[in-house]
Amino acid sequence: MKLVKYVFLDILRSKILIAYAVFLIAISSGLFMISAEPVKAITSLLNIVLIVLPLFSVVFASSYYYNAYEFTELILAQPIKRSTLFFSQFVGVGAALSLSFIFGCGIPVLIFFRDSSALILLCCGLALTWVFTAIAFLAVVYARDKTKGIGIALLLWFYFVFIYDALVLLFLFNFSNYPLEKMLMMLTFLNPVDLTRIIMLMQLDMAAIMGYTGALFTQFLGSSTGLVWCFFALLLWIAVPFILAQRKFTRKDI
Amino acid sequence: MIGCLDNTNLVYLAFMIRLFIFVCLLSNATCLLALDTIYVKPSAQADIERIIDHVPPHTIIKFAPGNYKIHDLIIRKPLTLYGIEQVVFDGQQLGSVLVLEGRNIHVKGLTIKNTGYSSVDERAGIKLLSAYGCIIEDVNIRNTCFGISLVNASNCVVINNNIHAVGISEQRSGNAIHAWKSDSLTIKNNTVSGHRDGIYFEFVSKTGVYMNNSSDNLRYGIHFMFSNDDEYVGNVFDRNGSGVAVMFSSRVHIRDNTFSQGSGAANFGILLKEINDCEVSGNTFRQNTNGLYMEGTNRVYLLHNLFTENGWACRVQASCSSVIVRGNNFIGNSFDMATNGSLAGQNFNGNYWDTYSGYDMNKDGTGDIPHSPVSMYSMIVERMPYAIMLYRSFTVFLLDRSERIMPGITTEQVKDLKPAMQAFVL
Amino acid sequence: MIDIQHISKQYKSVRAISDIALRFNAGQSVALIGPNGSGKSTLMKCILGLAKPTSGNIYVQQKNISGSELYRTDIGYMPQIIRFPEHMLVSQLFFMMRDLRRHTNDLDNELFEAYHIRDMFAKPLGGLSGGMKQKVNAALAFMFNPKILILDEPTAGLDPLSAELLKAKIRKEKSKGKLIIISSHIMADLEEIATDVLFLIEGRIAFYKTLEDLKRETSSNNLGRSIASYMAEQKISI
Repeated sequence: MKLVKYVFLDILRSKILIAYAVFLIAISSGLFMISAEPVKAITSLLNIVLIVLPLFSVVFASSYYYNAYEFTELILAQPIKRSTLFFSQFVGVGAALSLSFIFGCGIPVLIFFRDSSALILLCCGLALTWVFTAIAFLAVVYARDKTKGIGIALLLWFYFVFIYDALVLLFLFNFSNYPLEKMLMMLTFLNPVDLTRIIMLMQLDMAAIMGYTGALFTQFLGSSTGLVWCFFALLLWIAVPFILAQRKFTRKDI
Repeated sequence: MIGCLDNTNLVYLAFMIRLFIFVCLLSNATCLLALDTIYVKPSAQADIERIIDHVPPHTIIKFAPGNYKIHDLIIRKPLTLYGIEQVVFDGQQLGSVLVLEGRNIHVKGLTIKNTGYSSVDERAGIKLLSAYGCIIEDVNIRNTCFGISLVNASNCVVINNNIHAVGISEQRSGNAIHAWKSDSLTIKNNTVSGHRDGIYFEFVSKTGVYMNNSSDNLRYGIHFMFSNDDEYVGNVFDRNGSGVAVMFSSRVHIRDNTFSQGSGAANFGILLKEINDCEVSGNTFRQNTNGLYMEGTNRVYLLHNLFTENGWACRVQASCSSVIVRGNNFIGNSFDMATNGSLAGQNFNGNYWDTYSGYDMNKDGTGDIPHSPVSMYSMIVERMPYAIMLYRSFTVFLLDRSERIMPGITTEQVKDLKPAMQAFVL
Repeated sequence: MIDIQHISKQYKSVRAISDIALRFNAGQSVALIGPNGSGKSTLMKCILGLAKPTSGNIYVQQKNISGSELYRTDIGYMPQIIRFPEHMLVSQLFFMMRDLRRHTNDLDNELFEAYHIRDMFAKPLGGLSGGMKQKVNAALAFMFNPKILILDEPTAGLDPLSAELLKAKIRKEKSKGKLIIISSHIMADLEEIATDVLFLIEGRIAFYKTLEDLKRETSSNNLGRSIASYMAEQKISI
C-alpha cells in the first residue's frame, strides 16, 4: 500500500498532469464567466466531463503504464505480489487524475455555483475518471506494444463516447415501434458515459424533456434511489474492468 | 350603492350607472330605502334565510366576524353580502354555499369553505345560475369542489378572489372558476390553485381574463373550448398538470401571459387546437416540456414572444396553416422547433434564435444565410421519441454538425430567411 | 540453491526455452552467455517470476516459486539500463525499496557509499545520466544483502572505475558463498568474475561447465576465444 504513495507522488509532478489541471481551470472558470447563468456553464462543463475527461484519463493511464513498464519489472523482482503493484499503480494514477480534476473543475465550480447539481457533476467526473482509468488499464495489459495498447484504449474511448450511441440510434431506427423503455434503461447502464450524461440531465432540470419518453426514466433515474443505483453501477464500471485487468496482469509475462 | 363600486372596472361602472338611472326612473321611494344596511352576527345564523327573504332589494347585509354554518343559500334579489374581517361561511361538506340566481348581487369579503364532493350535483363555493350583473369580489374560497361556477351568466365580474383547494384526483375535483354558456364576463386578479382546471370556459364569449394567477392545478391552468371573441392578458400559469389548453375557438387574443414549468410529455405551456384567427403575442414561455403546441390552426400569429429554457419551444403540426412566427426570441431551448411533417407555406422569418451560427456581413441586423430551426436530431426525436435518451451526446452533436455541412438530409421547408442577430427587446 | 527442472517457455509463435534442466549452487558465479534471442533473459525472467514457464518447475532454496513472491526476498536483481519514473527522487526510490523489502536490519551500504549515492538524493531520477542510473541500479541490487544476485549487463554504461568497483563487489559477495548469475556480452568482465559458464543457443543448453573445464577443453586462456573455438568444434553457427 505504501507503493500508492510513491506512484502518486511521482505522477503528481508530471507536467502533463499539471497542464491538464490548468486547462480544466481555464475552461471551467471561463465558462462560468462567459455564461450569464451558472446552470448554462454547468451544462457546457458537462460536455467537457463527458468527452475530454475520459479521453485524457484513457491516454494518460495507458501511457503511464507503458512508461513505467521497466520500473514495473524492477518492482516485480522484489518480494511483492503482482496484484498489489497493479492495484497501487491503478490507485496512484486514478488518484492523481482525480486530484487534478477536483483542482481544475472542483474549485471553479464550488466558487461559482454551489449547488447539489454541481456536486453531482463533480462526483460524475470523478467516477468517469476512475472508470476510464480502469478501462485503459484493461486495454494495456492485453497489448504488449505501446502504440497498439494506447490505440486500443483510444478506440474504447471512441466506442463509449460515439459508436455506442450511434448503435443505439440504429437500434432505435429499426425497433422504434416496440416498447423500448426498459431496454433503453439497460442500454444506458451499459455505457458509463451515457449513464453519467443522463444522471446529469436529470439534475439539470432536463427531466422535463427526458420525461417525454415516458415516466419510467424520470421516475427511476430522477429519484434518489435511482441516483444511488446509478452510482453503484458506475462503481461496477470501475471494479469490473479493473478486476479483469488485474487478473490478466497477475497471469501474464512481463 | 355607487360607493361599493370602487374596485370594479370601468365597463362595469358604466353599466351600473345606466342600471341605476334606469331603476330610479322606474321605481319610487322604496328604491332609496333599499340602501339600508343590516348587520348580522354569527348568533343569528339560523335566521339568515329568513332575513334574506324579508329584507327589501338592494339591502346591504353586513356580517360580523365569526363562523356561519351555511349551505345552499339561494339569493334571488339584488343584495350585497358584505363580510368584514373574518367572516367564514362553512358549508360543512353538505353542498354549495351560495347560489345566486338573480341580478345585481354583490358578494364581497367573505371566506367560503367546505362544499364537499357529490357525484350528483356540481357543488361550488359560489354558484351563479342565469345570473346577470353580479360581482364576486375579495372572496376567499377554500376546500371546495368548484370555486365559483357561472352557468348561463352574463355581464358578471369575478375579481380579486383567492380560490384554493387540495385536489387529489381529477375525477373528484372541480374547477376553480368555471364558466359555461356565458358571455361578457370579466375575470380579473384572481389567484387560483389546487383545482382540476384553474379557469374553465366552455361556450363563453366576449370575455376578458386579466392578470390572474393560475398555478398548481391538477389539469389545466386555463381550459378553454368553443369560446369566441375572448382575450386573456397578463395572466400567469405556473406548474399546472397539463399546462393551458385553448381549443375549437375563434378570434382569441392571448397577450403578455407567462406560461411556465409545465413538465411532462403531454404537458403544454399552451396547446392550441383547431383555433382560427388567433393572436399570441408578448407572452413568455419558460421551462416547459412543450412551450407552444399547435394543431389544426388557421391564421395564428405568433409575435414578440419569448421562448426560453423549454424542452421544445414550438411544436407546429403539419395540420396548421398560415402560421406567422415573427419577432420572437428563442433562447436556451433544447429544441426550438419541431414538426411531424411538412411546414410548407408557414412564415418563420424575422426571429432571434440563439442557435443561429450565421453572420451579418452587410450589417443590416439580420443574418445573411437562412436559419433552419428544425434540427436533424429533433426530426429523429419526433419520429422516435426514445431517441431523446441521446440528448446532449457527442453522437447527436456530430449528427447535427454533419447536417449543417451537408444540408438536404432534413426538411428544407422550415427556414428563417431573416434571422435577427440580436435578441429583441420585448 | 536454484533448481530448474525441465522448464520450457513458449511465447505465441516463438519457443524461447526448450526443456532446460540445471542447478545453480551457492558460491557459484555463473556467466550466462549466448547470442541474442538465445533465451538468456527469458531464463532470468523465469527465475524472477516475471515470466511463467509453460511447463516445468523452478525451485529456489527448495521451494517451488510458482505463485509465491516471498522467495524474492533472497534475490537482488539488477536489470539492464532502466527507465526509472522521471519525477521520483533518488531518495524516494531508496525509501520505497526499503518499504517493499521485509528485512531492513543488515543493509549492505558498500556500493551505496562507494558510488556516493547520497549526494544524488535530491535529484529526480529522470535527471540522471545513464551511468548514474546504473550506479543507483547496482547499489539497490546489493543493498538488501540477498543470497542470490541476478545481474543483467551490470557493467554496461558504467565508467571503468565504477565497473571495477562493481566487479570487486561481485567477487567479494561470491566469496561469501552467494550465488551470482550474470548475463553479459563483455567476455573480459566475465572472465574476471565467473566460476561457471552457461551457454545457451536457441533456448537450449549448449554447455554448462566451469570456467576451468572450458579453458582446459579448448586449451585456451581466453574465454572469448574458448567459446569461439568450442563453437567451431561443435559446428554451431549463430
